[in-house]
Amino acid sequence: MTEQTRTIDDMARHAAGDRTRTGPEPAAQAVDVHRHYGAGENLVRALDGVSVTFPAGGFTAIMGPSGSGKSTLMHCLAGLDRATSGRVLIGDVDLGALNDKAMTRLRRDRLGFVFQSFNLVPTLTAIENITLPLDIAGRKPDQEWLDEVVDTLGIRDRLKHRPSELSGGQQQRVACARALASRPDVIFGDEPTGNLDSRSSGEVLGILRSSVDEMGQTVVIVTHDPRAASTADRVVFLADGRIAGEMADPTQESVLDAMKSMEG
Amino acid sequence: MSSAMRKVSLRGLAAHKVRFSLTVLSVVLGTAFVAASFVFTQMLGNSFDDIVELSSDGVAVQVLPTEELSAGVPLALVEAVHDVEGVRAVEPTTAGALTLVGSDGKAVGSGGAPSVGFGWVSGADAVSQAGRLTDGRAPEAADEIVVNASAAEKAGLGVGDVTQVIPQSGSPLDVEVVGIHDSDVAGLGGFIGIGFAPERAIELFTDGVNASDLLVAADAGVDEQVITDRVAAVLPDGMTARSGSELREESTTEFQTALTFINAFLSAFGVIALVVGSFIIANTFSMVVAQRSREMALLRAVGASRGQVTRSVAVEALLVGVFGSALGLAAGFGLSKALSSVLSALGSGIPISGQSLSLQTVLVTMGVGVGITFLAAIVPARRAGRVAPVEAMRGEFASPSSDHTLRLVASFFLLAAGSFATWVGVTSSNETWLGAGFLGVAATVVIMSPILAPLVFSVIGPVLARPFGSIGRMARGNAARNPRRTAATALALALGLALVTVFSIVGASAKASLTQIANSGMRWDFVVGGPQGQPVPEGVLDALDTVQDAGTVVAVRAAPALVDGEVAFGFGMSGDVNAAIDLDLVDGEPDVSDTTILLNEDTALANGWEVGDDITLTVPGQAEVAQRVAGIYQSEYFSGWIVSGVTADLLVPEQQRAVFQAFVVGADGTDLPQLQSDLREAVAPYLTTTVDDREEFTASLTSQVDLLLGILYGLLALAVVISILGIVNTLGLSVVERRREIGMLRAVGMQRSQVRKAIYVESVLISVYGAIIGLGLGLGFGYLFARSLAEDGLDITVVPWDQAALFLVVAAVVGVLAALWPGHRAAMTRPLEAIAAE
Repeated sequence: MTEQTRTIDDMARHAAGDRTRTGPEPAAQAVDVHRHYGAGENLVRALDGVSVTFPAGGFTAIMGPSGSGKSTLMHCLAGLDRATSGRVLIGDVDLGALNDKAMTRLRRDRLGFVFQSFNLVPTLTAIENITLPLDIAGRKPDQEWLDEVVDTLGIRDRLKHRPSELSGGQQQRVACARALASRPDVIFGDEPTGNLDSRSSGEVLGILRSSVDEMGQTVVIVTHDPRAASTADRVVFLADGRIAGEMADPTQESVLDAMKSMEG
Repeated sequence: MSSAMRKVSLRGLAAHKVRFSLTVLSVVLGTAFVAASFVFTQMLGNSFDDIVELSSDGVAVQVLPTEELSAGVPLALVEAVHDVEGVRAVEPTTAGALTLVGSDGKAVGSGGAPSVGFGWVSGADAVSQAGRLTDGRAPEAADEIVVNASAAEKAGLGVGDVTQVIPQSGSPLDVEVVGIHDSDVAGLGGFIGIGFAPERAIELFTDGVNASDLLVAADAGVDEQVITDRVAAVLPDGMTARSGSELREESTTEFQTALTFINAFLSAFGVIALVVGSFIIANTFSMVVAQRSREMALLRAVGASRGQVTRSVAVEALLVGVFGSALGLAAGFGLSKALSSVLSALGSGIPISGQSLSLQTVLVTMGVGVGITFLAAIVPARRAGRVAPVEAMRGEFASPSSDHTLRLVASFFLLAAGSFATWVGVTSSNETWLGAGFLGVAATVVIMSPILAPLVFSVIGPVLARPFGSIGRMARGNAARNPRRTAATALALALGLALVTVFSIVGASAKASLTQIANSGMRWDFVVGGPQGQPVPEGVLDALDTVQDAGTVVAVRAAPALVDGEVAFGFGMSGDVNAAIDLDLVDGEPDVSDTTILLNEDTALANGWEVGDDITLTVPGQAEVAQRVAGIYQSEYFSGWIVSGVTADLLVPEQQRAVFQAFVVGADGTDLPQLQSDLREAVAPYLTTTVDDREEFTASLTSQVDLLLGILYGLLALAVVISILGIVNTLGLSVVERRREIGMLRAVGMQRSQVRKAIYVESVLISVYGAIIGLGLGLGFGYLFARSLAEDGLDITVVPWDQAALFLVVAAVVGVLAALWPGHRAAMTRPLEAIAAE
């Protein structure tokens, strides 16, 4: 981490009021977040006053029907979109105070991403993709940690391959490795199993689960798959841009029931 | 084509305005060249017609000597011809070069157009009724002149003004402008025509006995052939008569030969521009089709036939072709206008007038533009039509798989043919074969480029991209991602640079050779000469004699004569020749006297003459001079022979004598800078006469090469501009294609500046690849061309490595410039685009 980054973190902390907290600091936090699109009669309230906290070292799934605002919430949390009002915090950094450059740096240095598709740069090999965020930050990867991640994910023999030479599941494991490589504060997954068959999606969920259990990672995923949600410690339900409920220690059945009751 | 499909095509065009504009632009630039070459040639043709018209207007018969080099037609014949029945007027041609002095005391430049004095005849006595006085009166006294309107305006002279003229044959004359005439040659912007009283013109421009020819006008209703026969009947031996039609025909043919060269030259550039343009057009359409493959698949899926899909692309191509060619036609019109003003500003003396757009120009330009655009689009369109609907809808943009077998086979044969032609060209010093070889090898490179590109990238990539770390690695990957596309993009630049390099090598070699020729055997300190190699007035020699320390003055004159009935050229030199120049003697003694001659080795060999031979130089009706061969010399500069000044005067009729140069050798111990300024002062009244030392002389010789190179570079710069637009186009479309990937990179933490940088590096890689290919081709063939011209005087072959290095740097800069806009667009990509659903 460079001097400059630290300074910006300090600035952000200052902007956030530098409140002293009790208990374990949340990894990410949304405070009365609104996200509106359009104006006048076409105004869409994608998020309409969402407050939610994601504790460090936890695995949270965000669920909700189409149009519930679950993706928008994740985009705002991950610094890919800006809240219209309210505050979004990663650690104690208020994202609202960051310009594009600082926001990009925050994503690069403190967040990890696993998308549904188009996760990898097709012209780079698997290992180059994994170290990409570190490379563009001009940082040397921690070789020991990298080896551990690569071995845990079982992709050592695929490192020299291009994405086009990998199966969908392998590509997603490389994407997970990329997210883990920089030891981010939070890993965000946007339907990370959306494009995978059930075996591959089981593997990917297993990786995310064990990253929380064994490496102390914080993971937040958006999904509509009850099986994926059941891997999480906690499920946050969204409907019409508001928090519609929360469930700890979910199972596939309990998630399905909750979803049904929300739609019904 | 159904209206629904048409709607899809048209909406497609409308929805991608930038893409559409770039495609149109490449067609415009290509066709503009073709149109310009046609319009320009036509303009030249028009002005030549004007000149022929002016010089032979009203001429029914021309009387001229049978043999060349003779003194001309006796003025005494005028009366006899005038007495022939049906002859209305007879005018002896009494014209000669002169310099007009403007109201500011400076010489009025003609920009390479003729600057002449002639006898002013008007009214019933005039052969031509074209020239009229618009102001004042006709010249009567010896010091009265009439000036053409455009020259008068340029000189700032009007009726009643007093000025000077300096005829070639003498010294400055004080004259008064008494009239303004309108005999302007349209388009011959700089033309200066000074009319004297007829008797005065005879004094100034003839030997008093002969005119170069007689122009005869006939009475109304008299048949041209009949009057020609009648005039011929009264002519003595050695004179002949030909009809006005014959005269016009000959002039026209002469001009047309000159035009063919210029036309071929311009068309060549048109072809280059079109080839470069067609790469870009083809490239653009194949990318457009790739991007639209999903849309096309959808159309196929809902029931559009393969033919309909292909046709929709074809229609788009036709629209682009027609629109682009029409704009190109207009641009070409402007380009030819610009070219003509550049040429006249540079004083090329090429007459240009009457811009006109002929049906031929329109048809050729439109035909070529639309045709090439259509062909460039139809191949990818057919490919798109073949894509199975499901496949296209599912996939990402599928880059066309390339089968190298056909490529390798084709390039093998092309390379073999090209190498053979090159070999023939080199061994026989034949530029046409070399040109064919160049085409063959260039075509091989074009075909092989998709295979070559990754190879070259693997060499230059690490060097150029290393400083940029992972950004550089990504840029390398992107540049090599679609070799066919990269190759086609870079080739436009490569072709332009190859030609520039060929010209720069030939140009540098020409300059070096000229310098060597000019330097070889220089013993003189100063050379006195006229503007642009024109002769100096005779009076200059007298002026030089007045300079004290001008030890030796050697005047160089033309000394042509007939050898075996053919006109051959030689030089007459007065004064101590050996003091001024060091003749490289291969045999005999360097002895130039009134009875001896020195022969150029080539002339001696061609005629089988040896030292000690007696040879006779013949000029019909003028002289037969016997000379003994004293020595044989080698020289690129003094071809033919060298005789004494006295001999030269015997050979050349008085009114045709001309001093090309005078060499001056300072007396021993002279202060040379002082001598130069003294000489300059002495010739100052002659205004256009220059006094150069050796360096200045060499520079004036090479400056003509620079001028020619400048024009060539200017034209090729347009090809480079087209190629820049091609790179912009390709990168712009690539950025659109990679929108999601760029969004993902932004999401995982790539800064905007890094995205931009990646595009810049990619662009530089592409353009440097193009430069390497272009320089390779250009250096190789430029060297071979220059070598093959060795026999034509290009003794020294120079490869301007510094220029080659400069081109490489320019290519890199071009790369960055071309990437500015695509880079900006890429940087503006929002990270959400990576995860946003389709």
